[in-house]
Amino acid sequence: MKRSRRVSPTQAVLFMMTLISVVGLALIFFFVIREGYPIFSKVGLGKFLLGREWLPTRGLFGALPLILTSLMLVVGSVLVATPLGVGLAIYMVEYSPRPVRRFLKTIVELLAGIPSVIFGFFGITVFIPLTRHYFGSSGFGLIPAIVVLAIMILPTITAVSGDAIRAVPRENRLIVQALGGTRWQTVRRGVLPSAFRGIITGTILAEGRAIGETMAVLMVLGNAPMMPKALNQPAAAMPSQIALDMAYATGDHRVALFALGAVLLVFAAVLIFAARRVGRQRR
Amino acid sequence: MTSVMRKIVDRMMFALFIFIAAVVTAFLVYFIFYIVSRGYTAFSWTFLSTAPHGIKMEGGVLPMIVSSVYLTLLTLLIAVPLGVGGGIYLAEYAGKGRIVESIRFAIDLLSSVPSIVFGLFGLVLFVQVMGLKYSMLAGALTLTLMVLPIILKISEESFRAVPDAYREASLALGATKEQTIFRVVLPTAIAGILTGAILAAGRAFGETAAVLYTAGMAPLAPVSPLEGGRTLSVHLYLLATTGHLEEAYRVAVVLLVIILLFNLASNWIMNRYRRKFVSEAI
Amino acid sequence: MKTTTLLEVSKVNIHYGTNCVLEDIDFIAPAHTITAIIGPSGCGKSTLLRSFNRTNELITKTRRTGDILLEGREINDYDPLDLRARVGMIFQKPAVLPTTIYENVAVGPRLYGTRKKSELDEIVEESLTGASLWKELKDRLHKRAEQLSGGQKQRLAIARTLALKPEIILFDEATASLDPISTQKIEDLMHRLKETTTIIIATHNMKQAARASDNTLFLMAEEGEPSRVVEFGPTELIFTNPKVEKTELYITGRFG
Ligand SMILES: Nc1ncnc2c1ncn2[C@@H]1O[C@H](COP(=O)(O)OP(=O)(O)OP(=O)(O)O)[C@@H](O)[C@H]1O
Ligand SMILES: [Mg+2]
Repeated sequence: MKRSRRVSPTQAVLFMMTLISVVGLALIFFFVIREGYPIFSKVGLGKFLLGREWLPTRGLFGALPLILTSLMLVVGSVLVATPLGVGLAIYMVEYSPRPVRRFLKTIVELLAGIPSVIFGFFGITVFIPLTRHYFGSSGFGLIPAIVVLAIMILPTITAVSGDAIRAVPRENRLIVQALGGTRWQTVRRGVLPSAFRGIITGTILAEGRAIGETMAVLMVLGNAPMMPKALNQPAAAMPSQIALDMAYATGDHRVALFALGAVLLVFAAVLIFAARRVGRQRR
Repeated sequence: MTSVMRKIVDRMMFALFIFIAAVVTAFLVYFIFYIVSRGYTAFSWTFLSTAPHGIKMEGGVLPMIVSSVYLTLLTLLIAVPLGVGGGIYLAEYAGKGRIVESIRFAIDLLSSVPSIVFGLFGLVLFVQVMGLKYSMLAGALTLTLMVLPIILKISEESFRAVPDAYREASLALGATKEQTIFRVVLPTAIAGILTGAILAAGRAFGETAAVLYTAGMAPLAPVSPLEGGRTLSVHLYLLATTGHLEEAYRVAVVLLVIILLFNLASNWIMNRYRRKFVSEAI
Repeated sequence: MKTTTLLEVSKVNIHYGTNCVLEDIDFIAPAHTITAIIGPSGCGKSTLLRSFNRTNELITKTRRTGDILLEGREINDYDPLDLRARVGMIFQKPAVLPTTIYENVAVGPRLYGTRKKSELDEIVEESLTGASLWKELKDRLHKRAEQLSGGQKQRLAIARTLALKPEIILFDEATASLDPISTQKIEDLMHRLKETTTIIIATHNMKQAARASDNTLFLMAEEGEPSRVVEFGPTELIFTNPKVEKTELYITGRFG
């Protein structure tokens, strides 16, 4: 009787391998917070999060400009990418013939696989001049960053909402079709209400990607850590500022960068939490 | 009249959807064409087989290719066994208890950690505390944590996709659970595992932020895992942000082509085995 | 005012892929009558009903030959969307949209551009009353429809169809999941609807067919063959004095 409950050595080893993820996650939280914590006790958590000036060389560590910029990037890119991403998903599932669908699937997968540094480079050479041309200024700033981010998160939105749309039972479509609904009305009234949660989950996951995206944003944002004033002005976001400053930061500055990392971690964790909650509440 | 209206709206929405699909497709085509048309001179033996020199970083990218390949292989070497092992556990042993639920949650969280935070973490733990300095090993350990969730999820999925009949047949022949898993289930799921590994390789190969402060930026080809190096992606970043655009195009082409090859490979395997794991991994 | 709508079915064959399930079906449904289609499970009742408003083709690859005439005109010559608005259908499986009770009824009028709240309110009340749901649900109109019981869902589906005031209504086993009281209500409703519509029902319930319908169409297949019309005629005759022996055996429950 006892023998059947005993864990075999193989099972124990496999369990340990699974635990690596948990241990790794714990270590990440531990080290990032440990390295960043001193700034909270020195400057104060409130002053760090709400301070409006980020001038590390003068000992001013107000992260609000960086946090705000990051949030603006997230909101902006999701606003741009959601209609496109969901539209593409609807087209793929509800409209496109099989070969077209497979082709588009490949396109979306390719897009998802392109490294962010190449997007950043493309941003520098294509979107920056365009922004400069149409919006004046240097071209660096929130506009090209939002465009690049929108392209980068589109595959996430398309993949997740496509799965949700595919999962809608055929009966729901049939209800609307039997009333004489057009194809679009069938999608609008028979499909989207059921797929809504899945689509929201997709956008939340996309927000997670957008808030953490570093290189592409770093390369087109202009990296001016000031309160964002206009969409065509340079700004700085949390991840990009970390990546940029880490090259030379020492002392409190370095500590503050880790603190930013901790804030980013919290944002990412909250988003995953939200995505799981929304995704799970299915009737 | 409204009955005409709704048909017009239907037409317009249809046109809109086609337009969206066309725009996304056109963008990707333009994107690839734009970069390749400006950097195609990368397809030259000298560029691929020599080191860069001089202030303008002219010359080749051999050390960067070596660094990128080195780093990716080292990452896979560590991450694939761990991820597949974890995938086996989750698919074949784990129940539905709270512990397993929290493990799954931790894996989700890990997959959401921003890459620059991986970089910060790797810098503290691997580079400094463990004293690995900027090195291939420090970079690979950092990337391992980053790609682990992908491999875990995809291999778990592919284990679950193996029909129970296989397991039952093997057990009925007197094989133990372990023998069944390693001799029957694992070989059957190999396509999925391979797909996961390739996807992970693509991520690792293209990653910049997590590598910058763990594998370093030294433009030299590493030999031992304790030496640092500059990957292609880091090289592209440095060239692009210092205005060396001509060289940057060429590096981007190399990077892009290799990533496309990864993609084609995983697509090919997936099509061959008619599985559909990718939507989970994106 | 009585309409002249009339459904005429002649020499209809229906195939799924290469598999012929219905062959040489002939019957007519005069305006303002109730026609019951009876026959053993799998004989093609649902298939036939669905072909009348062309929803069959939405489900699988299917092929129909022969004529189905609505007001003397082949239904394939109508715009399928308009046809479906005129020929409403209640499906065998009760299904609701994942939204409120109110919206489940209002969805039809909304498709055709009715926006005004007062108008929609009126239609919803009328349709729910018609499906004898109004009293039960009038205080829960804005609750979610998924919470309803199976029988309520089915009546909600009827209300949804009524909201478009179709000329023909196809009921596919619409009362199969209802209790006797609601079934009675639906049958009363069918009687009232005869004033304005033509009704075709598919049913397993012989008593219902006998009680509620004016004409009965009995379909059945020989082993391994497509279904054919065994007998078609006034319900009274079919149930009291069938011409074919098979019909008598079937309706008295002795085989099939
Ligand atoms: N989508 C489909 N594809 C292929 N064959 C089908 C399809 N739907 C129904 N059939 C076949 O067509 C025949 C008639 O089916 P149908 O559902 O119309 O029968 P029915 O008389 O409504 O049965 P029941 O009384 O059980 O509802 C059956 O043999 C069935 O297997
Ligand atoms: Mg049926």
